[in-house]
This record gives sequence, C-alpha cells and structure tokens, in this order.
Amino acid sequence: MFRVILSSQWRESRLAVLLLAGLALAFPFLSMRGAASSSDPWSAWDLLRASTTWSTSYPVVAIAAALALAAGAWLPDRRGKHIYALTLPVSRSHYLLLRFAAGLLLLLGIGAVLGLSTGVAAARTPLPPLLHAYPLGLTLRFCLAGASAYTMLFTLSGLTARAARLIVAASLVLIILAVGADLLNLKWNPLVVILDAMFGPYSPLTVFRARWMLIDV
Amino acid sequence: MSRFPGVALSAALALAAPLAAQDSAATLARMEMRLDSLQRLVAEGDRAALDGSATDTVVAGRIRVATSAALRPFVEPAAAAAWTGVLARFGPAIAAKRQLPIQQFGGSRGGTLEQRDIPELATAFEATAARAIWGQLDSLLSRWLEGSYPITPLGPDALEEVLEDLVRMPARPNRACLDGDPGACASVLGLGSVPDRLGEWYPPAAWARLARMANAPRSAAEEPCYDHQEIEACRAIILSARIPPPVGMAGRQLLMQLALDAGGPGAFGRLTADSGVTVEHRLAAAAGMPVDSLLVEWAATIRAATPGSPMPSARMTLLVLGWCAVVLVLSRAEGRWG
Repeated sequence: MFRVILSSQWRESRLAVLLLAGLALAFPFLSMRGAASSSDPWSAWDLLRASTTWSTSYPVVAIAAALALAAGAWLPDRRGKHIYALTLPVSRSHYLLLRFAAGLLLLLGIGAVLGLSTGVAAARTPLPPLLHAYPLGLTLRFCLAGASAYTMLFTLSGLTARAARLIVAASLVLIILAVGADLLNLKWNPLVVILDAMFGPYSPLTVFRARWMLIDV
Repeated sequence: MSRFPGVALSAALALAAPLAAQDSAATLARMEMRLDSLQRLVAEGDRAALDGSATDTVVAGRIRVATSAALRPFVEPAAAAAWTGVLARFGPAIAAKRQLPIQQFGGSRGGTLEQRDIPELATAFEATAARAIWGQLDSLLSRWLEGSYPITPLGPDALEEVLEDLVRMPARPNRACLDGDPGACASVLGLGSVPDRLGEWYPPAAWARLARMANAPRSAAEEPCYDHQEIEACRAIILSARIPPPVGMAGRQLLMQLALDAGGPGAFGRLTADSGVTVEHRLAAAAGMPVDSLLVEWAATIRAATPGSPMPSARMTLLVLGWCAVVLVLSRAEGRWG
C-alpha cells in the first residue's frame, strides 16, 4: 500500500521534486564556481564570501520542498473527496502516517541529492589552510530542517475546513492585537512574542537558525 | 525651532541664489556655507527646545542627566547604576577626573517608561559616559584604536568576525597567530613599529587586490597596478590610503578589553598613566601581565569563537524530532474525516 501512496505522491509533486532536486544539485557547484586555486592568496576570501552568499539558498530549498510536498500530500484525496482513502482497510492514523512517510521519503531524496552534490563540490575544491568543508553537516541540517517544516505544513494542510478557519481567524485576531499594541505604544506585542517563540531555542524551527555554510572556518 | 522652517528656508535660499552665477564652483561653495550655517541653526534650535523641555537634572557621581520630573523615578536609578559601572570600568580616580557631558533624556518628547527599561537606560548612560572618557585618550592609543573604543563588551558575532578576518585575509602572520604565536599576533594587531608594515603584513602577490580594497583616491598609478600587477605601483596606491589591517578594529578592541578585564580595578588608570611608552607596554601595565601572555589569551579567545560544522547537535535533533512526533500525534485527533 505504501508503494501506491508513494506513487500517487510522486505523481502530484514530481515537477516540484525534480526542480528542487536540480537546485540542490546545482547550488553547491555554483557556490564553488568562483573558487581560485589554493595558491592564490585571496582564495580563502573568495571561498568564504561565496559560501556566505549561497548559504541562504539551502534553507530556502528546504522550506520550498516541505511546502511542495505537504501541499501535494493531500491533493489526490482532496480531488477524490477522500473516497479512495475511505475504501482502504486501514485506520485514519495509519493512512495519515503512510501519507506523511511518502512525502518525507521524497524530501529525504532531495536531501540525498544535496549530500551528493555538496560532497563532490567540496572534494573538487582545493581548500586553503584553516578553512573546512562541511558537506555532511550541511546535508543533515537540511534534512532535519526540511523534516521539521514538512511536519508542520503537512499537519496544517491536513486540517479540516473548520480548523483551518479557526487558525485563520486566530491569526487575524493576533494581527489586530499586534497593530493595537503598536498604536497604544504598549511594550508587549503578541505577534513578536509568538515569532520569538517560533524561532526560540525550544522551537522546532530553531534548526533553521544557523550558519548554513558549506565552507567555513 | 522645528526642522520644517529650516528646510523651507534653505530651499528658499537655494532658489534665491543667482542663477547666472559667474563661477559655479564659487556659487556652490557659498551655498554649502549657507546650508551649513542653516543646519547649525536647526541643530541649536532643537537643542534649545530640548533644554527648555528638560525641567529636572539627575546627578549620580559625575553623570548628569537633564530630564523631566515625570521621568526622574526611572532616570535616577539608571544614572546611579551607570555611575557604578563607570567606576568599576575606569576606577574612581579616572572617573572623577574626566569631563563628562550632560546627557539629555526625555523631556516633552519622551515616551512612557517602565521599571524594566531601567537596565537598558543605565547601559545607554554608561555607554555615553564611557565614550566621553575614551574620547579623552591620548593620541597614541587613539591612533592605534582608530577611534573604535571598547565601549561595550564584544559579543560572539564580533569574535566570529575577527576569526573570519584572520582566516580570509592573506596576511603573513595570521596563521601563526591563530596557532597562538604571540609575536605573530602582535604583528596582526599592529603593535610595535616596523619600517615596512605593508611588506610585513602582505605578500606582494596580494597587493593588487589590496590596492582596490584600500579605497585610495584615483591616481595614474592604478593602471600599472591593476592591469600589470606592478608591485611598486600597488604599493604607492595602498600607502596613499590606509593599509587594510589583517583583522578589523574589533580585534584591537578585544585586546584592550582583555587587558582591562585582566587588570581589574585601576587597569584603565595604569593604561593612561604614562603616555610616553609604547602601546604594548601600556597594555601590559594595564593587564598586570606580560603582553605576550595577553596576546596568547587573545588568540585563545578568538579560537574559542570558531563556529564549526553546521551539523545539528544531538540535543537539537532530539528536540526537533520530538516536536515532529508531538505534532503528528496531535494531528491524528483532527483531520479530514475526523
């Protein structure tokens, strides 16, 4: 059954998956493109600058992959009004886990492509002294961050219309409260508090807060 | 005086300037002088307005803050905390001797404050006082620090920046310095006097690009340097501006901070006691230890700031996976056909 669900997920998201895997393949090579030979006195400068410039592209690909796969996970069910899912001899929890695992597997596939390309790009680049390549660290961070974002987005996209409406309403109330707090010159802003909590040290999104550097000191 | 009339007046003056000026450069110079005097006038007006709105003065040690009576309950403890900080940093003898400017806070434009704002306010008052004390430093130390005084302790970002400079700049002593060689670190930080600082710091192969970074005024020497890598032409360009140091000023600030921290109370007094000796002697006197030991500590502090691999830690991995599990379990309770 997992294979069928994986195949339906692949059909829905293959364009996005192929595009994002292509980007994951290209970015490490593009970031190393300006690297001079290690005998050039400025090679460390150029490598660090390129690595810093391209470092933002990896979390962006992770979020894009999570978004595309989470959206694609429920598309076949939504289109078929859940008739196929209801005919299956499995519980809803089991079905949900199968759908989740199918998307996660495709996400890890993009991670594997990134791992391969960062490994090859780092191996091909002569490193000046004191600089290090981190292909494995970067790939694992990508996978963890992607999995975290995918889990949140998968859950959100699987909500019922009523729950989704509640979340939208709560968000609107939050924004109105935040604007009101600003207008009243209050020191406390609920939106800031929530954003701080979302990216705080105990949040699942804290994994995005790091130096995503393929080459670093 | 508000800004608007000043700006309107300057616009009127600009329109009134003779359109058929005989000499446009002279006209421009005249206009600049008028604009400068107008800006001064506007600034003085602003100051006068603020002075007028400040109805109370808080005094803590030598820190004086002009403020309003309504803000006094906040300004008073903040100024006291700031003075305690100044005393701890510079010692009573120095703090009592130096001229500190009257600080202005609040007045009619002031917003509301809360009790929890007091530490932030104290930090601001202390920083202003510290800036004034550092600003009265003798020329030798001022030149060495290039005006970048260690007003507040350097954070992890600044340390990482120093480390990155040490790694990416093609300066000869950088690698040995990171390995803990105090002589190399002294060179990196511009201590000691050498006849050819450029040659000591950088190999000639790096000079052409260094010349571009030196931000020198354009000259005829550029072409042979940039196009043909002629090192003497490059040297001329770099020396006509400022030789980019192997590490930014944050490196020198850190050394100063370490010396003052190591020396404890009275360190700043020892630093400024004898302006006739070299910077390294004064740092050693302030720290109460040989300058080589201080430089070894500096290198160790920088090495400790190494960010390392982006590999997520075990704690972070567990945290994220735990969150994912919780969210998934919760999502089972609510769903499409739940």
